[in-house]
Parts: sequence; structure tokens; C-alpha cells
Amino acid sequence: MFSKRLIPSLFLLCLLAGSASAALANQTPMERIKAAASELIEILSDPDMQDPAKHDATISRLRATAEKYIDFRQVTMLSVGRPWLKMSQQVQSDLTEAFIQLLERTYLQRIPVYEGQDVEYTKQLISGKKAKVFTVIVDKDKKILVEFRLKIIQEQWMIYDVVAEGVSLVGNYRSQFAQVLNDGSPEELLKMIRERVEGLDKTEDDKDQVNS
Amino acid sequence: MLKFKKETAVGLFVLVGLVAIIYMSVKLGNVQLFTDKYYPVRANFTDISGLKINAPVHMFGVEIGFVSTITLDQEKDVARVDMMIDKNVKLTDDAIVAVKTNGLIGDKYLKIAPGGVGDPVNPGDTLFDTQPAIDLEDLISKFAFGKV
Repeated sequence: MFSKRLIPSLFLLCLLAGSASAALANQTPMERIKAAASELIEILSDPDMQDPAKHDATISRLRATAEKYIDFRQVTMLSVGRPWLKMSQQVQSDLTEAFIQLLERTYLQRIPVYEGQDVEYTKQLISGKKAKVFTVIVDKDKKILVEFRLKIIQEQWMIYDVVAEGVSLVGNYRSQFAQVLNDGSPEELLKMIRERVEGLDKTEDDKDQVNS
Repeated sequence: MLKFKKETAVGLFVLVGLVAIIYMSVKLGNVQLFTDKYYPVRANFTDISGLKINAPVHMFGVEIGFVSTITLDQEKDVARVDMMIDKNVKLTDDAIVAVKTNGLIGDKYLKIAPGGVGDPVNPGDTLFDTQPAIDLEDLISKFAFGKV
């Protein structure tokens, strides 16, 4: 009786495990990074990118692509650390959204026109559910070492940290957030990030006015 | 009677001297014999230039352990660093271990930025998120002479 019940459940378990590993085997972490890079390069090399009128549309295209490969909730959670567990769901999602906007303003707005920078894939290290992909971005004679850290989230390799020239994105924000959260509440951190985003938007507007 | 006293005094003196020598070598040499104060944790780095055995491990600037062994893993092409961490310090697997320099040209040490949202780290586990030693000279040359 017992074994009769057990067999179908075991079979189901094997099937589930099989499908999970099959989904994982579809793409190695390095293939995932390669796919992300080629998709981003395609958007960046689009002539529309240089058209200031279509700037916002391009940014949102870049963001949609980035969200396919980067788990921003995970990035925010790791940057916040332990205080994350005490935050309400609402604060967590507000913080994630504000953090995405901050990253967008800090990095995307500054992305220059794509000038044929090459990406060399050095190696990948997989350890359980985590992986590192080492790449070198070659920009003319400059070589920048960039390491992507990935984690299996919903059966897919998703980026949760980027280490450029030995400096980790999560590590950098973790120390800054810890300082704010040590003195204040999560709401204060949220307010601070939003103010920073507004500040960055303002300088961008000023620059546009000067240029026009 | 008198002779016996003299010999006892010499013997005692030698004994005290020996105990003092053993105490000093254990204390100064950082010998960790018969201690269960620490648990081992491993981390792999792509570059640890300057990091030495017995270098301290810090968290928020507080010393919580030391580097016990440094080996080369040629299969993965990484430097494997084994640390001994104070038993009272609990780590989670999202902690970031970074090779840092004391001041601009000081000694290298390890800094752990605790995460707090990951799974607990058990003795012998490997911390996955690491930051290599930053080569300041390399960075300066890259940005000072990089452009044509």
C-alpha cells in the first residue's frame, strides 16, 4: 500500500528534478552572459540610440533587456543585507524600484555610443547554485576586467552582482546602505535614493539645456 | 641539606624559564594548539597579492579571525585561502570577502562584509563572493596612460 503511493510520487519527483536540470542545462552561465551582451550590443549599436528624442525609449529598451538577465530584487536585497528581512513587502518593492532607477541614472545615461568594444570571455566557475563568469571588455587599448556573478533563480542563471576591476557593485552599495540604515529607518534610505535620482535627473536636464 | 636546597632552586628556576619560553612562543607565534575557538571557512580569489598567512580577518574593523593557509588551485586558476573564524561570529553565504590594504601601502588583510539574508555558513564551507586585491599601480597606469 505504502509503496504503491510512494512510486508515483517518486516518479513525479524524478520528473521534476529531470526537467529542472534540463532547463538549467539549456544555457551555461557563460552562454547566458553572451546572450545578454549580444542583445545589449544590438540595442546600443542601433542608430536610434544617438537620437536625443528617442533617448528615453532606448533607455526603457535597455532596462527591459537588463531585467531579463539581472535579478534586481536580488541585487537590492543583497545590497541591503540583514535589515531587508525586517522590511515590509511594500518597502522592499519600493526600494527595489528606486534602486533600479538609481542604477539606471548612474550607469545607463552615461553609456557612450557603442564603438565596437569587444567582450572576451575568459572562464566560468560553477559552484552549486552559483557561478562566476570572467570577461575582459576591450575598449581600444584599454582592458577592463569584469566578473559577473550568477545564481539559479527560477531555473535560470540570473546576474546578482557585477565586479568591475575588483570592485563589487553589491559590496559598494552594501557599505553605503549599512551606514544609512544604521542611523536611520528604511524609509530614510528610500528617501535618500529618490533624492539622488532626482538630483541626477536635474543635472541631466541642465546638461541638455546647455547643449541646446 | 643545603646542597639539596640549591639544586631545587636551580631546577625550579629552569622550570620557570621553560614555562616562560613556551608561553611566549605560543603567544607571540600565534600558535593555535588545542583550541576550539575558531572554525574553518574557505574562499577563492583571483588575486591575493601581498596577503600572508596569519593576516587578520576583519568585520566592521573588528578582528574576527585569521588566514590559516594559502594554496594554489591550478584546476580552477584561483588562490584558495583558508580562514579561521571566531566561533561566536555567525556568517551567511552572501557575505563578501575582500582583500584590503591597511592604508595606502600597508599590510593586506581580509574584510568580510556580512550579508544576513543568505543561508548560514557551516564549518568548512566556501564563501563564494570574493573581491580580489586591487593593484593600485595597475589601476593608475590604466587610467593615466590608457587613452591614446
